[in-house]
Amino acid sequence: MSIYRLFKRKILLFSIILLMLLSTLVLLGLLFIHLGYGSSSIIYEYRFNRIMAASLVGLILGLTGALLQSSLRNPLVDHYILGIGSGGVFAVMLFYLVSSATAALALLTIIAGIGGLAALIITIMVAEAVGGSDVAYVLAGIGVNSMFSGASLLLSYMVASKNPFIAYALVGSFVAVDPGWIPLLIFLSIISFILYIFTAKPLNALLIGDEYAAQQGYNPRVARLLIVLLSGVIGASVVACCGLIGFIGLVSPHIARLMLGTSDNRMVPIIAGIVGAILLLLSDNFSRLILAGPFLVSVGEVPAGAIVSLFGAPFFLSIMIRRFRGRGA
Amino acid sequence: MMPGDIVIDIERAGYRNKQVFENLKIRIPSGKITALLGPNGSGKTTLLKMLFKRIRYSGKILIGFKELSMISVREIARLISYMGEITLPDMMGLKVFEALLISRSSLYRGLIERQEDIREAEAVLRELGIEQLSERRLDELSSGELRKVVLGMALIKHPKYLLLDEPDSHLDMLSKIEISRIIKKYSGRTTIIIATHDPVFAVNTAEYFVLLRDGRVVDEGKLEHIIGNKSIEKTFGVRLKYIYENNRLVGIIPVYD
Repeated sequence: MSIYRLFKRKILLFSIILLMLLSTLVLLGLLFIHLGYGSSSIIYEYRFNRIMAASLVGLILGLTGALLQSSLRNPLVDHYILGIGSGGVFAVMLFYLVSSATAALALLTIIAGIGGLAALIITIMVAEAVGGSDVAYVLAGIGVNSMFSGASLLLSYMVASKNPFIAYALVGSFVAVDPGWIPLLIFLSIISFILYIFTAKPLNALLIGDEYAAQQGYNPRVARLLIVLLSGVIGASVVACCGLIGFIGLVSPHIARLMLGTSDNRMVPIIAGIVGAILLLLSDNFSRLILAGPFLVSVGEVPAGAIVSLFGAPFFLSIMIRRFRGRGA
Repeated sequence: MMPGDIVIDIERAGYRNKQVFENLKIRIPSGKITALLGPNGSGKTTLLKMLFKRIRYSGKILIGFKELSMISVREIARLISYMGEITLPDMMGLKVFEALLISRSSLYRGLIERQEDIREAEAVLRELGIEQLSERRLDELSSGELRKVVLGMALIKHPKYLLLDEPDSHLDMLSKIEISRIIKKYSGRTTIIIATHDPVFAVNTAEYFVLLRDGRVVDEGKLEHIIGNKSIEKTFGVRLKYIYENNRLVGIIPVYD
């Protein structure tokens, strides 16, 4: 048996382990974790929606994060660092400010997507204006991110009377998740999956280089722009559901690459999606537990986004350090 | 003109803000190894990139009787392999075997490679004598090893036209000779164009020569022709001493004066 086939068997093994981990977390979240209010069907339904939302958002963020990193050839980006998520949150806040009506969830998703797209375009333009290196993208993203985060924070005070849960959008939480989100998130997951299937081969070519991609029959500029914009917009639109969750899109692809031992884009995005689902579900389960007192009677909860940042930020810093050590600078 | 020849007859070509060629006429013979020889900035890379539609031009480029603009991008992907230097982004590594399989991905539909593609990858590794590198990561290879792998990535498509951009750069003497030997094995089967600024590598590898300087053809022809015309001297602007062994040109030394 060739080494290559053994390697493929390893991937299968990893997928099974990951799925088992995911289902364990789902079960834990469904049966045990959260407020000791008994076990009425309402509680189960609430828990179920939360688990679904957290897993699907994690899946979308992990998958689109992998697509963003590969298409930009940049190990340091995700929809949070590029400012896309903040742009989405800002657009949602702005909508609440100017509109008195409660919006359909699908409309909110589209608004978040448009906000994310605007932020992404600013980031790309700034980064390309200063040479388009990977660090230029990170720095431009930090600027755009701060701008939209600041503006969103300001707006959150103004719209708090209309939507008491709006402050959660700034840190990311599944506390106030509406069951109506589930079909929307399933739809977005399917769209990202289709995007992954169609972009795996061109992304592999782009990873090796633009000229290489061109002689493989792809237009590198068009392919890159399309993939970045589509995965950016999908990543941004989920903030309408759960607010801004950083680092999932950044760390999941890296964990997937480490596990697989390769950056082949035929495998990384989907495994990154599963890893993202596990990480976010883990964070959400954890967020429900962390303030639980004795007998698991919770006195409140920490937003999942905060937990993710708590663990994600050190990981990001370690990637930065490895990145610059490798460069010898 | 032989079938398969590349005929370039262009009025102008270049980048948006920089014109590189004006009134350029070159004929590249099929089935032979042609060296594009010239100093840095003479337009070698631009010329190679023009052949797979990466550079805008006005005029005519015929690839085997067919006008380049009439050939689809997909068809070009099957017809042509271009390989320059490759650097993968940090922390996104690929193994040699994967890079080879990816290089065949324009030949099959769907995401999963066929048994045939795996066999091809194994064959290329054998042919280049780099089987032991199969599971190594590209960023862990030495320059010489990487050059061989890159050559393999170009060859695995079995292209009709093989464009190699400085296949000899950053290589020690032995590695250059090895690369030259591998390239020569494919002469006859494939039309090969190598861009290089090393005359020694060029004369020991190629059968036909196009000498470029500042986007203009200084001379083109077979070895005796360009040596007789002192064209290499004119191209690089230096004086050269030629070393012969058994009536074969084996070395060229620039004279420092």
